[in-house]
Formats: sequence, C-alpha cells, structure tokens
Amino acid sequence: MDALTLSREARILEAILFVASDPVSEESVSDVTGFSRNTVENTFKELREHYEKGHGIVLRRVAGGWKLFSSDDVFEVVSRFQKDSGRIRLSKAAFESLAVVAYNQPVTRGEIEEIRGVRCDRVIETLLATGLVRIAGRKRGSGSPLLYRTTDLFLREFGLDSIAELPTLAELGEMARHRTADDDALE
Amino acid sequence: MSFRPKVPERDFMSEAVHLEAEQRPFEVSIEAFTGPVDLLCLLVESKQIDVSRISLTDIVRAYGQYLTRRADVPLPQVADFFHKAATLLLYKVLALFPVSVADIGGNEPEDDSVFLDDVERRMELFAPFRVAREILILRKERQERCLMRPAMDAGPVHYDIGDVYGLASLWWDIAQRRRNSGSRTHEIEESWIGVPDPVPEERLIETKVEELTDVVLREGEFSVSSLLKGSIPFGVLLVTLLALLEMCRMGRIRIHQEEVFGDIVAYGCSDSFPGSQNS
Repeated sequence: MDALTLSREARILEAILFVASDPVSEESVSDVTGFSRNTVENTFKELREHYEKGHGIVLRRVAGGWKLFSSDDVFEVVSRFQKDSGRIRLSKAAFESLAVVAYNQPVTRGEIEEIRGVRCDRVIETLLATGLVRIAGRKRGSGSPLLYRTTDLFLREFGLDSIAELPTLAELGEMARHRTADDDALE
Repeated sequence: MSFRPKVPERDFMSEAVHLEAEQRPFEVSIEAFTGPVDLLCLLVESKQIDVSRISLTDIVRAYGQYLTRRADVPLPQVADFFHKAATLLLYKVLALFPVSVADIGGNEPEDDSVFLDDVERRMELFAPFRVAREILILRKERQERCLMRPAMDAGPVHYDIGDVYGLASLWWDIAQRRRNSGSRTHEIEESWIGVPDPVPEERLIETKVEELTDVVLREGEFSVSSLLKGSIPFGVLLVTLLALLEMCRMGRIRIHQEEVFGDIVAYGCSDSFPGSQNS
C-alpha cells in the first residue's frame, strides 16, 4: 500500500502515534477524534498492515494500546543513534520474582518467597524501584502483608498487550515436565 | 383470576455492588499505590514510596469528594484522615533535607539464604516459574530490539508546599558544591557582590558618616555622584544615602539639587564645621 492511499482516519491516527510517547488506546483516540471504536480498531489494523510492507517502523499492540517501534532488521544501526534507551536491566533473581508476581498477582512477598525458596525483600525493592511492580494494597489476614502487582510498564518492557498473552501456568508446568524428561534422557 | 401489579425489575446485584462501593472506606489510588491512607503513610515512612512523587493535594481533593459522596463519615474518621495527611506533609518537609548514605541503606548485603526444607516439593512448585523466567528473559531481549520513542518520565514532583521543595534542593546542591570545592570565607564574600557585610546596619551608617565628615572637613562640599563613582554594590549605595540623610538630620550638612534628576551637592554647615573650606 502506498502512503498516499492511506485513509484520512489512518493519517490522523498515524500523526497521533507519531506524537505519543505512551501506547495509544482505541478509547482515547475515539474520544479525541470522535471516530467510532470500530473505525478506530479497523484503522489501527490498516496502519499495522501498511507498516508491515517495507517500512523501518512497525505498529504493535502493547500494554492495552498501540505503539510505533523500529523494525527488528534496522535495530543494529538505529540502536547506535538511540544510545541511552533507558532500558531496565534485571538480574535472574529479579526475572524469577517478576514471573511469580505476573502469574500470581496480587501476591504477597511471603508467597513469592514460598515459591522461590529464598528471601525476596531486596529483589522486590528493586522491582518497585524500576516501576515494573507496584503495591496493590494489603492482604486481609494476620500481619496484613503488602500485595504486589505488575504495572503497564511491565507490559511495555516485555512487549505484552496483556498478562493473558503469557502462557498459562498449566502450559508452563507442561513445558517444565518436558524439559525434565529431556534432561533425564540426556543423562 | 388475580392480577399482580407489575413491579419494575430491579437489578439487585448491581445495586448491591454499588452500595458496597459507596460504603467502602476511603482508598488512595495513585500511580504507584492503591490502598488506605495509613498504609501509604507506612510505605512512605519505610521509604518504599517516594513522598515527593505523591500529590497530597490530589489525595485531599479525592477525600473531599469521598466525604461529599458519603456524607455520613464519623468525625473521628475525618480527623484520622487529616492526621495521616499531616503526617504525609511532614514527610514531604523532611524530604527537603539531604539524605545521608547511611539513611539510604544501600550497602546491605544480599541475603538469599536458601530454606533447605522439603526441597523436592519446592523444586516442583518452582519449576513452572523457572520456565516463565526464561520466557520473560527471551521476551525482554526481543523487545529490546524494538526501539521506541522514550516514554514520559514519572512526571514532575509535587510541591504541595509551593516551590520550597525545589528551592531546598537547589540550596542543598549549592551548599554541597561549595563544601566540596573548599571555598574560603573571603572568597564567598567576594562573590556575593551587592549583599552588605554582616555588620549591624547602624554601625555601617556611623562609619559612613565619619567618612563623609572627613570629606566635608577637607573639601567643604561634595557631589553625591562623586561618592558613587563606578559600579558600587547596592549595599554601599544604601548606606551612603542613609548616612547623608542622617547628617542632614543632625544639621551637619545641607543638600541641594539644582534640577530634577540632577546631581545632588552636599555642603557642610558652618555651625558643625567651622573650619571647613566652605563654611
């Protein structure tokens, strides 16, 4: 599709995406433009298809909205331009704790420690500091421990539209069993 | 045959949900936290939430709306909220002061002591999450290859007490820089041109009066412009003018200005300076 063939709606959405620094939701675009939700959804799809054809940027859905990204094939060069991309660096322990929060949210520190088998206070502090995890109240019961949840930043950082995009716990359990079986076979 | 009056259908479930929402105690909902105010205070106290990122104004406004909605909140509860809000304000004020490294407590060693009980059960429990960890690592690596316009930062800090927070930060930065540079006192004084010396004002004026008295004794008269040649500090100008007025009040000089905005000439009074040139 040629750029000139984009509909007026698509050009408006393209401009909104160009100026936005956060993912753009259909709802917010619909509110601003007055286009129906259906029109907005279809127009985003039109734009996504448009960018899939030989462009240096791609349009993807993350954290409940749409966002423009550089395409994978130009990463090496473009990353030299965007030297300080502000990426969050995490340890393996942080990834583990984050996985536990993502799959069990809202979850207490005690529950994370129960699964990981190690103390997690420092790791949780790190996750809170990075903004990948937030406090979501207190659990009722003895001690009223804090509850933790993942944030929209977590979805953005991991390229997820929602938590539901991750494999289910049952699927993970299956993968883990396969892995153990493979390891046993190798031994 | 009996007719039953037609009663409009009521959605008891949604009404109950609505009622429950109305009866629920007040909860703060901000970017990094959702929950009761006392918990927020606790998190701020334990430095798990940065108080300067919290808008107390917004919280109090939300509470005002909650009070309007509920209309039956007991007074002790209202008092309790304002007590908590005042505590948050206190933390905001405390945040104006520099934090020592010891307070931050960033050098604690990582304590990952493994619990050695029922390892097998734990391994089984943990196995799916190890897979999840690897999935997340892969997703992150893939996502990091997709560059994007940087997201907005956490936004400005909320100065619920005006711009004092910003001023305090600036002040402590300057103080720290000066301390680090090891500037000596006289260097600092030199750089503060325009600020009078830390001497009582009366003493400064007395000294200036003595100085001007010498000029009158020597020359009989002088123009004010001759006293203020070059770029003199504001403090010196002020003290000179006050000294002139004081000398006029004491009857030592008379001052005369020929034309508006013209130069002012001071003459020594003969009663005070019998020996002066112009007496």
